[in-house]
Amino acid sequence: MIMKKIVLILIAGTLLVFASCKKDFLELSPYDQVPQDQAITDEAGMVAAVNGMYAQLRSNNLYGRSLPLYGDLMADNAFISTTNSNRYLIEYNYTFISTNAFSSATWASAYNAILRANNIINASVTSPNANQLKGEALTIRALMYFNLVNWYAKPYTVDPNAEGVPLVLTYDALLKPSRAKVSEVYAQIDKDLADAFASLTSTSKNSSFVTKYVARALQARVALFKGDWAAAKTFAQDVVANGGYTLTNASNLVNYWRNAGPVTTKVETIFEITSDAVNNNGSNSLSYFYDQAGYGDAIGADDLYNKYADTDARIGLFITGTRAGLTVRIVNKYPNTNSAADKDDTKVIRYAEVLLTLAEAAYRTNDEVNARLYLNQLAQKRDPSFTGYISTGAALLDDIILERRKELAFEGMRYLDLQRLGQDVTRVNINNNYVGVTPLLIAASNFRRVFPIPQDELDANPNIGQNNGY
Amino acid sequence: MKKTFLGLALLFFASAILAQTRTITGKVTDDKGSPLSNISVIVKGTSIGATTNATGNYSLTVPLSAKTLTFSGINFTDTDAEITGDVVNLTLETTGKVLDEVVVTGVGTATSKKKVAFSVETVSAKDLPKVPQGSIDQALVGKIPGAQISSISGQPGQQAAILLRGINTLSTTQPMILVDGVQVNATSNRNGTLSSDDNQGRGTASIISTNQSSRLSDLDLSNIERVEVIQGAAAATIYGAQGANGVIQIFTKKGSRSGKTTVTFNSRVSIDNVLKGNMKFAEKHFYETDAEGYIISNANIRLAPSTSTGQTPQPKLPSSLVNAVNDKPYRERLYDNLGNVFRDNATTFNNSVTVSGGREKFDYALTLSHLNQESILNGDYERTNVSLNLGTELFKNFNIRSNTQVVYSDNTTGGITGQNNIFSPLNSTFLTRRYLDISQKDSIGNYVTHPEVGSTSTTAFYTRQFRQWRAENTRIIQNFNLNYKPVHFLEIDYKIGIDNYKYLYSDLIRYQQNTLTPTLGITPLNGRLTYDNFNETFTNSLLSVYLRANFEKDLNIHIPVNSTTQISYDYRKNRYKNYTTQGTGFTPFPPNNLNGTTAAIAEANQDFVTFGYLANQRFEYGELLGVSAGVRVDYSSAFGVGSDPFVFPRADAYIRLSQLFDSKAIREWKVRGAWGKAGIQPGAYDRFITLLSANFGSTGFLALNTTANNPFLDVEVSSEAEAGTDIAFRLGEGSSFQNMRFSATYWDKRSESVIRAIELAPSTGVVSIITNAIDLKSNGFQASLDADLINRNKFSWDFGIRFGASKSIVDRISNGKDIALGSTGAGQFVLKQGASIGAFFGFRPLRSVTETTGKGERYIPDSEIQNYEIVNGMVVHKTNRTVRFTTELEPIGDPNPKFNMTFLNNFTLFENLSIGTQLDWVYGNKVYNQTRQWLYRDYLSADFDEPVTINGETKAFVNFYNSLYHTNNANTHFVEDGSFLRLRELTISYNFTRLLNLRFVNNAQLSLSGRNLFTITDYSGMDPEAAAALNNPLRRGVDVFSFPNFRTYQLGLTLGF
Repeated sequence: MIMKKIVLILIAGTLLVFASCKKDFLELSPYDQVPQDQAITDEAGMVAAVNGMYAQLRSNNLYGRSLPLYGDLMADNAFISTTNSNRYLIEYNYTFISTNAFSSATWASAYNAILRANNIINASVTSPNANQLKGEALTIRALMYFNLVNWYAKPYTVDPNAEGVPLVLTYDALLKPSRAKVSEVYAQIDKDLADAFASLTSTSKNSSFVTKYVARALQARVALFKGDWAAAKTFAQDVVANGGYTLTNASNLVNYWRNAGPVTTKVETIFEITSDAVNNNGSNSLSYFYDQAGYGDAIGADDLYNKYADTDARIGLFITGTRAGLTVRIVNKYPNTNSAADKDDTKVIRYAEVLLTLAEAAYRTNDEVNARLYLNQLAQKRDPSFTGYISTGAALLDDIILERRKELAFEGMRYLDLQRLGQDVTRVNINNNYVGVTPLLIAASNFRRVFPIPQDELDANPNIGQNNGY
Repeated sequence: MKKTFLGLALLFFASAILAQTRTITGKVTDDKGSPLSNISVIVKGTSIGATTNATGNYSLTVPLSAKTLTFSGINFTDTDAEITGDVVNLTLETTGKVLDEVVVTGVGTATSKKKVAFSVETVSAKDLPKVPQGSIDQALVGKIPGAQISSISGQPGQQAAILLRGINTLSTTQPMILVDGVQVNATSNRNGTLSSDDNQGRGTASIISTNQSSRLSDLDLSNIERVEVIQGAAAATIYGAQGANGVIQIFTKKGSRSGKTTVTFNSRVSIDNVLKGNMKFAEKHFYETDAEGYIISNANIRLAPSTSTGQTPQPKLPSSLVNAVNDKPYRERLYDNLGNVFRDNATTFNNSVTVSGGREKFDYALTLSHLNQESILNGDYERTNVSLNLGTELFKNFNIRSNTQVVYSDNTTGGITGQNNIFSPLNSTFLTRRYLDISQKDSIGNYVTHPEVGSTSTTAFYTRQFRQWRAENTRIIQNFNLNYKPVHFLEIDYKIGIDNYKYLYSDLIRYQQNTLTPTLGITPLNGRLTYDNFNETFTNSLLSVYLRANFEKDLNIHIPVNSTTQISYDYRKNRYKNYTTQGTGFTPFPPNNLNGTTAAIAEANQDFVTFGYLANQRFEYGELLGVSAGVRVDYSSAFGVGSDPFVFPRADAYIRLSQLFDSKAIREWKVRGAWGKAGIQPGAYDRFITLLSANFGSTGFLALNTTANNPFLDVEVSSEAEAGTDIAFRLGEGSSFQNMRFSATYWDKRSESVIRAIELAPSTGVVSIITNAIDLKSNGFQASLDADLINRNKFSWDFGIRFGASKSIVDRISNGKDIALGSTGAGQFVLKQGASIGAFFGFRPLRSVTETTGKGERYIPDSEIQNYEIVNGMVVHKTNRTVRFTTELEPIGDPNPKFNMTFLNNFTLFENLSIGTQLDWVYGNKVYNQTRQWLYRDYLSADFDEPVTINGETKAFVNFYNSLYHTNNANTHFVEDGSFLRLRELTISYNFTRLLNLRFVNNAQLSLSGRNLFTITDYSGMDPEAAAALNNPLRRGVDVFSFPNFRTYQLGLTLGF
């Protein structure tokens, strides 16, 4: 009897002991991941988060491939060979609908980069470098909104009151944001870049990090896209006067592009997205899509190629080869597909663009002398035997736009320029660049000149409306 | 003490003086005359009794007044016998093994199957096949009515896919595995390149490999005594938040306390050959040829391999495929690459020795076994198991048992497949042109990377030369069980198990830049060595208290009721660690180790703790009926905010109708019903909003996952009701149809809050959130029949049927939106409300030229109709000869079989010779033959030889078939009937103990068996069964260069001393 009692007491005791300590041993946190609420509490956490933000820009849906590729493929600079891997044909042929994979992924990836930037901007860290780090995040947020508003909404220069894209400035997974007007998105971009400029320093480790003059150069681009010529001129002039950037010599241009890594010399590159031997997009990279050692699907258009003089150093950025039985102009701006040492970076903004912006802004503010000066500064650097543009009036503007096309080819700017200028995409079919099904003229008024809002967004967010035509 | 003694003495005298006694002896035998041990013999109406010994004899002192003896034993009908003299001999009849076994699983305490209110399936060691793989999952294929257990890969060490009863979850269908009452680890580790294809929408953690090494396969089949299976929540509630997928409980061999030592030696050797099924390639081609009909290259010269690299140029294709016809005979020598890549007569040796025995109060069993299995494709699998089971009664009613299993295995068979992996040997073998030889070597003796110029994939032979996978696993499972019955109404049972394994996986890619094709090969070409180190410790501790009361005896209440109360506390902890070390870039010469390489490291750790309480009350009213009800409460580190416990209730009842009437024909008839809930836990850290870490240049970074974790995550809850009946009957008198058992169960279940990532507005920055998003619904029917059709001395025939049919559908998705899964080239699936889980979705060829889309728009405008015609039911462009497809996804096939069924036969001739067969039939399931679709891309499928009539011309038009490839989009053309009938097992065994006539040999048996001897199927690929991702409910029935099963012939010898 006593034995039984003892046993029962023991059992009851054991159960109680187990029961009483439950809460403590159920609290198991992950080892190798940092919970969100503990992430950005100090400068080290903030540096890690900033790196994460830059890493997202390398996504093949953003600067890693899609963004620079759309800009030339959907315009008149590049075409897809009939021998291809079946990628980007929908964008190239303008047959996309709201479920289109690449344009949907670009939307999601860009907003993910914005989320990463938001978490940095909204962090309450007050260390010495916090301002610099927040400035970097503000710049990247602005850059992402600039891309979103240009790809998913009508150009500012066409209709600033058109529906833009949702402005999401804080993280909330359950948010269902509605679209802000194009002008409101630009206002946020202006504000972010101005704030960034105020908090950034002018030094960085290399050209893959944001500095004061990265923000300034982007301000010039954004002003140009708004048609705010005076501001564009001011910003661009500031970069030219105080940025410390230079152009490379014609003889060195091909080598400049052959260098796969970021630079510290302030030659040409203002800001780029870095890929290295370990961290890269592999077969999903931009270079893999241009390089014949990779997919090599995208080829430079002969129409563009024919616009370079034989003495122009930029003609060295093409290799004449064969694909699908045609003699073709293979793009040589991203030649490091096979390099085991380093992979090609993507240039976001270069000094040449700032000069061209300054030239255009000068022209638009009735200062043709300076317009020609800055234009020729670039053109004659690229082609030392070129005597310089002497055109005036509308012809001068055409020359500036042509020089932009030639200089910034395969860097994703061409389509955006046609957008802001309200121009049709006109593809000139030389040497069978374009096969039967490819549209040769996409009018500025075509509804597909802006991407559809992705179906994923429409499905999950009742507050958002689709672009016209889709 | 004194008082007691006095009382005893008085009693003794009283007995001696007042009650006259006599001694009865006798022998109990079965219907074949064999002695039966452990039969209890009780004077009816008293507690005076004895049990029979090993020779079937008993001796019992009974009062003179005793009139009747009751004989009872497990598997035998209780029989009364009049005491007619001093000797009472008896022949006991078997009742039917299905109904009279004692089961534990799901009930918590050993209970006769007659009194269990839900279906528990049992398979004893003698019914387990003697498969060379020697793993329990393989052994259960076809044996469990209602379950879908399929051998989905011929890779040694990879387990069968187990789907017990309907689909409860979208994560894994793997049931919980218990060994002697204690849960053990039954996950799988990677044994090949990683594939993110099966990222089951649950964030980034579930990236898994398509080649797996199973921890279930570690367990030694020769050490298994018996297996019990419960299939759903109705029976598994007592296992709480981890029981929803059902439970497989394994009982290991124990020694007998008879005082005798038994030694059993088992040796088996077998040879395996791949099952090629109906796999065929095109016999003709359409490439450009020279005047003599030899294929030419783009340079217009006859194809020939380079004398140095051994590579052959690509063939010249016709300038346009539109008019190409696949009708040219090959003049080249053709190679059977698929035949060459598989090993002929892969050999397996499997030896085991068991020493067991014991005395009163002590037993032991020691099993040593060794398996050495050559893969039919690549490498081999070697496993050594040592198992020791010790039991003793330390003092009266206090039993302690220790069960130790030590396993070491070494597996080099991994890394053989992986869809869309250009280095996958099977993939590249299938897709090599027929006139090319994958076993070709170059001029310096290396295998060619690929026999064709321009191919970036590598052949199986090249891969074997330059890449090596190895998985070494060391594992210790230690269970202790303490059981104490201080008084007859109380039992305390404590079990603890610690299960630890260390799994070291290595993947070596050799230096390849000194080959004749230094830019081709397996990347990285400068070599890489990866060590992936897994260390996992699982602890399970279970304390149970049972209170038993007989109302008449213990409580003096005069109704024949027995009560059993169970209270348990159950604690589980899992600790998982993984370190990966990877070095890239070797020197061109050996040794190929990490020294001198560019090294990268990574780690992943995971802790998980859960515990629960169980209270269960059971009442039995005599032999007639019983009811029980209980509740389990679970706590877990994986549950969401507040760690609120989850409550799983259960209830069941049975009635034995056979107790209400007396029938010679119906010996047992039970009707039963059960209801219960059980759960599946969320992933260990799914509730934490965490940041993923990765590298940016030389520094690390942190960022939010694009799939957000959810702090409010709940357990997945499956609630199930089942109803069934068990009948034991006989037909007529004599030696036929005497022992028939039939069981049938209908079940219906609903799984709520199933976890899945649901889409969010991408503009928030995250694309989805892991949440309890989905409800699933399933129901089914299962039945089994076992019959001793003939039972004579010289000949007996046992027959069995196992049948199961079930259907699982998506009942509700929280946002109502379809969820698309999979990708082109690997099968496409959609989770859609009301649709079958895992159904294929895809496109189909237009059936009519005027067909419209869902929006009512015409696919083909009137102006173009004249360009199209119907060919074989498909709309085909008359001049391009291409098939026109729909553009809207629709369900195109269901991998779930309409039913699966197994036929078991066992014949015994002259007692010594027995023949057993198992025939498995899976009917009505569809397989998506993605392999064939890839073959269409490369013009290699045998279908290309078939002429079709397009626009009045009947020819084997290449463009017609090639257009069906449809850029790898899933489409109806590649959905095939996957039904098959397979002779799973045929065993002929001969017992030659008597022939030997050696005193010390008490069992000698020789057996010859075959596995997968034939398959009848319409499926055009290699093996319709090998078409699924392991235990993934969403990736069943997709054949993408799957590793087929094999045919085995085995010779076995068993000797017992």
